[in-house]
Amino acid sequence: MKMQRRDFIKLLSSSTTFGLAYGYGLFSRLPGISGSEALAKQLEDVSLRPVEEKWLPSICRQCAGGCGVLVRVYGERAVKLDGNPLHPINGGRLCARGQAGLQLLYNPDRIATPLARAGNRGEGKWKPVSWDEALGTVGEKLKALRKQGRPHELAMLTGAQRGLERTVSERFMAAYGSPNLVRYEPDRSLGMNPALNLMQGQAAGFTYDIENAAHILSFNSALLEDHWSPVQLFRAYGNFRRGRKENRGKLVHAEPRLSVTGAKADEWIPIKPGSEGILAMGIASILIVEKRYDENFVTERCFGFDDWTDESGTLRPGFRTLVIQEYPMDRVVKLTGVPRDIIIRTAREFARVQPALAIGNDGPGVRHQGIYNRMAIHALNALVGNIQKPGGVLANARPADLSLPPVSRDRVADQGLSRPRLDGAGAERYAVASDVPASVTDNLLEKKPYPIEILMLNGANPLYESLHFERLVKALKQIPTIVSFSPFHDETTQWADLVLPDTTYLEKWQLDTTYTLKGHPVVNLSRPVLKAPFDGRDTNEVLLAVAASMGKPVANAFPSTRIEDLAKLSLQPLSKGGSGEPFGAPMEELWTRLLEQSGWKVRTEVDFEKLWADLLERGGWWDPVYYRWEWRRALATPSGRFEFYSLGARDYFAKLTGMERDMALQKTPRLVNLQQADAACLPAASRARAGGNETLYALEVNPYFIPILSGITHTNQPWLQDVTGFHVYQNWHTWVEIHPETAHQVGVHNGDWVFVESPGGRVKARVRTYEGAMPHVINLPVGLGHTSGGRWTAGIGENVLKLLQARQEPFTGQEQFKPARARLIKT
Amino acid sequence: MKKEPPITMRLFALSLSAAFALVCSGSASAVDQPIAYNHYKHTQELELECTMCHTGVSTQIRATLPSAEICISCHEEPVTDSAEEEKIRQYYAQNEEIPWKRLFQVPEHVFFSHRRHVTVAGLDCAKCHGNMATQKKPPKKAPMAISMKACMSCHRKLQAQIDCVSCHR
Amino acid sequence: MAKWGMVIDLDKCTACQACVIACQAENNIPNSDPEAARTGRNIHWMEMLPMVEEEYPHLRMRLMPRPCMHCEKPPCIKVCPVNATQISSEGIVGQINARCIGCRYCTTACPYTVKYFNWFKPKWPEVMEHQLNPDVQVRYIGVVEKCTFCHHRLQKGRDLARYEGRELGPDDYMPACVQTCPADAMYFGDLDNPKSSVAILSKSKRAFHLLEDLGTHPKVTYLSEGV
Repeated sequence: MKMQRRDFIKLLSSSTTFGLAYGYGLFSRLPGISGSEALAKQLEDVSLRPVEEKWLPSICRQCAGGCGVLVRVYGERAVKLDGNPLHPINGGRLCARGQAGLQLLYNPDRIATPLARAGNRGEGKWKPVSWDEALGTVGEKLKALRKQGRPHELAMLTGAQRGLERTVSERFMAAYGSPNLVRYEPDRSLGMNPALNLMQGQAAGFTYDIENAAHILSFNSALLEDHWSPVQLFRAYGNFRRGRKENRGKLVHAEPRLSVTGAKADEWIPIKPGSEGILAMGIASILIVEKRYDENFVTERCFGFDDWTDESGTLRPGFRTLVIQEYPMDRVVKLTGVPRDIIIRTAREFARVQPALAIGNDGPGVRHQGIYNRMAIHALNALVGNIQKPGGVLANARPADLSLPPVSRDRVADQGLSRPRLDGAGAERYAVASDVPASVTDNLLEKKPYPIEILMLNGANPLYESLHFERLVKALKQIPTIVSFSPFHDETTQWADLVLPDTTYLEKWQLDTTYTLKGHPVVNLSRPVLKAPFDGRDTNEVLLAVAASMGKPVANAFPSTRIEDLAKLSLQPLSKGGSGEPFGAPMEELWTRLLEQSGWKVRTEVDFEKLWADLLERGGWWDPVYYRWEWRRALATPSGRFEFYSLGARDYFAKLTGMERDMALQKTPRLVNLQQADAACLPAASRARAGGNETLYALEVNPYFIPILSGITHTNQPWLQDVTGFHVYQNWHTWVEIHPETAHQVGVHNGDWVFVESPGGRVKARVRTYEGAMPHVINLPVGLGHTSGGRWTAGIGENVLKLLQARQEPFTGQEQFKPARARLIKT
Repeated sequence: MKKEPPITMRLFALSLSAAFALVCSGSASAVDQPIAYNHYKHTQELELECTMCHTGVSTQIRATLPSAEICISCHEEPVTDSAEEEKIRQYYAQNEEIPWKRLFQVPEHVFFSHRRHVTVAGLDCAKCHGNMATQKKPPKKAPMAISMKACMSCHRKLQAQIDCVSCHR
Repeated sequence: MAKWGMVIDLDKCTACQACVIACQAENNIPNSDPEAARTGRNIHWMEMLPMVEEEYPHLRMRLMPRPCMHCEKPPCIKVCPVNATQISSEGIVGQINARCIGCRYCTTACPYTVKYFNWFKPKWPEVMEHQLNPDVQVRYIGVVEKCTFCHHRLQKGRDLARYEGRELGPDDYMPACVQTCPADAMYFGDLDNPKSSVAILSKSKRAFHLLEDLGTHPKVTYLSEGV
């Protein structure tokens, strides 16, 4: 019998233990010692067929990172996930969340069939219905609403959608005639981008070339805990530390608590919560006063460093004036709590070791930095000229050209789309925002600009995210019909009338677009890896089916009723040649890059079917060539330069009128010497005052996102829950980290149960004395405290967001935590 | 639900289990197969390979017993006038699997791989299964006992792994 | 004969715990719950250990992934009354569950606390049993279990190499934790092969072992942070 190597590898991995192959009732039958009964049963079992085993490519969707996975499929079951070695983002690696993916797939608390509400809203009583019935109900309601000429009264709240998923939602809403497609992801995945957009113009996003940086100054960046694409960040970090023969990268980290990033940093600078932007300005002042900034870059490529004269002849303050006048060292020291000598030393080092990066919070979780503080942090990168350099800030390359023919719309749709959006995005105060989730609660409640008749929840769970729980519940109660696509009984789904459970990522077609940390566009493609263990359906396919059932013109939204065909059509342009190629082995990549950059290789049109098969086998497509010197792309500002004084911001305020303008300006930081109109366009870092009586609430609250749960929508995964607070030996409940001396002062001990009470609310937590906590600042983990959603998440810990209050950011309207004060009360 | 024996009981059971581990093969009681299969006829007279019916032998952990589908591929039309042969078609017609009973068995905590022994090491089936291939009637018990002692002596002789973790984990 | 060992570079490690979860997924480790966690009866063959040194604000916290050290002189095997835990000829310390009587002498003897007693009957909701690894046994209540350096992967790798008529290569065998490590902070290989990355790295100036002075001769080497 002759066997090929490939066959052998295939069969090598197909193995089985006794027991498992017998079926799944293994655990009632113990070996030997447990007695002859089990033995007798065992002997009756017979295996009849060889088990086939495969490794199939797919895409991890536990977070937005876009990693490629290989699924070990054993017979009919998925038994392990590992990284796809060809994938440019994760190169064969996976993080903890990625590894836990099977606990999402095989989660016993997934909704098994479509459900219709049986009791009162929010009561949690359901009756199973068939897919036909459920789809029929949705289709009829939508048809009726559209017939009455009110298609805009349909709203869909989504998660951080990308790629084909986004296309399907957009096309569905467009053909139906509603402008109300709202990403309900408070500040998630935006990270530093809004700030960078003000200073560098709108681009396809920005990235930090961590791998090639020599020095990283992190301003509470949560780099190692809360990054939007953790695996590629970790890979880059490994290389940053030890990837180069000499020149080990150095990391300095400023944060109120000793986090994982702080622990891994070479130096941890404890800093008062929310004052990172001010520290950045303190560092900027040293660079400017000591003339340690990159004068060449600042003169050649920057605008608004020095004072400048506007078109009316008025002198406007530049960055230098801002720094010198508003951030004298004494003030910086006082506001940040960082000693003067540390600020000076940090600044000098930042200027000396190049390339050096200043990174603010860029993760999906923490939201208390604010756009102006982030601008202040980013200004440091321009001061040392580290823009579009290896080891610097890079603007992402243009995305892959994926497109479907435009949606043909009828008059009803056009009318609906011309209405203002539910969240106010794209108009007046939020003219530059694409989504303003923070406005949704109020507008729903006040029926502004009109009431919503049907609400669809597609990957969003606003009731957990919202800081206005009660108001949102009230708002939801007013909506006649709520349809949820959640695969779990999450908080908001409890208020739905109909649940059409989605499948999870291994069970569906996926076409996802993202970027590497070096700005290369990536297109992920995967087919379903295995049959769904539950009777869920891919929401994208459900939307296709609903559109089809409504007949023309809504049915025209999609050129096909199969999601696979849509993916194929979208990818057609990739076969036309130009740049980019399917994922390949790293050596191949390197070679291609060399050839292309030196002009030796020109891509020509390829056969689409071959490309399609290639993409499916390798997991996707990317463009490995990046042009650093495309300044027009990297600095797409009105001045074509890096703007310390943002002309984009100035235009924005200039376009607002009367009260709108006043209200927008009110949200910008107040300065001592400069005018409000200038402050609103400069990196005017500030530290918001914590609300609450200082005597009554003596402690400051510093919330942080639990690293292991960061970016995850469905946290009902026991592997992850078991390792949440490993640094303080606490899991499965909310804890409060407090400095031992502060604990002594307020009379609590390690292990005590306390109520943490702020003016906004209270949560129960376990005291964990922690040397890494700043005195008089308590740290609380965010990510626990779901009230529903499964056995390993509902009732596990408390939702710390209850303690916090928020304000809306200017420009984006994103919700931002206000610093809070609290006290501990023994239970 | 069966309750777990307490630790003390299990200490007591240790001696039993040790004995058990040594004589870990075969069934205690006599085995009656659903069909009076004739190994001799298939392997000796017709000279069929073992892998023809035990399809997992060279590629899988387990050798596997033939499913009705495999049998029917030759026996769709009667080859003999045996009533035993007719049973195959009955099972197949009723869409049932043939309820073969296993003769050779190692305990759950023993990881034995046919592929490793047959394909990688190139061992003959008879090494562990004795004269199974020449049996004219289904034997009531395994023609050759599989014991840890036998495994170990062979492993020693062939200088294969004798670390505990290689087979027990 | 190979001598399997691991090197963990703490300077590259980001404490992301991918190794912790990869181990749980690979080795059929039962799910924890609040009760098991509260009583310290949850099982983690690979665990992230926090070690806080000095005081605020000049604090250092060292975060160390801790698998079994696979000691050359393992204290656990000396105390086992039934020979259930043994060191293999290639230096892997194994635990034969069927032989274990659950006396827990070894869990006490191990200075690294890598031996875990099954206080509960391992059970999963039915649908979760799909994901159990067919290459690894599910342990039962009342026995001790531990990290095996994913020994089943060694056997698979060896089968392949032997089938192809070649020596076992460095990529043929890698535990699940090492394979997934995103920062590339973990190395695995044959300490007796002077050319292997682990042999070279374990002689680094930064190399140290946990509780070296106990004379256990661990085969897991850490590389310290910093220059």
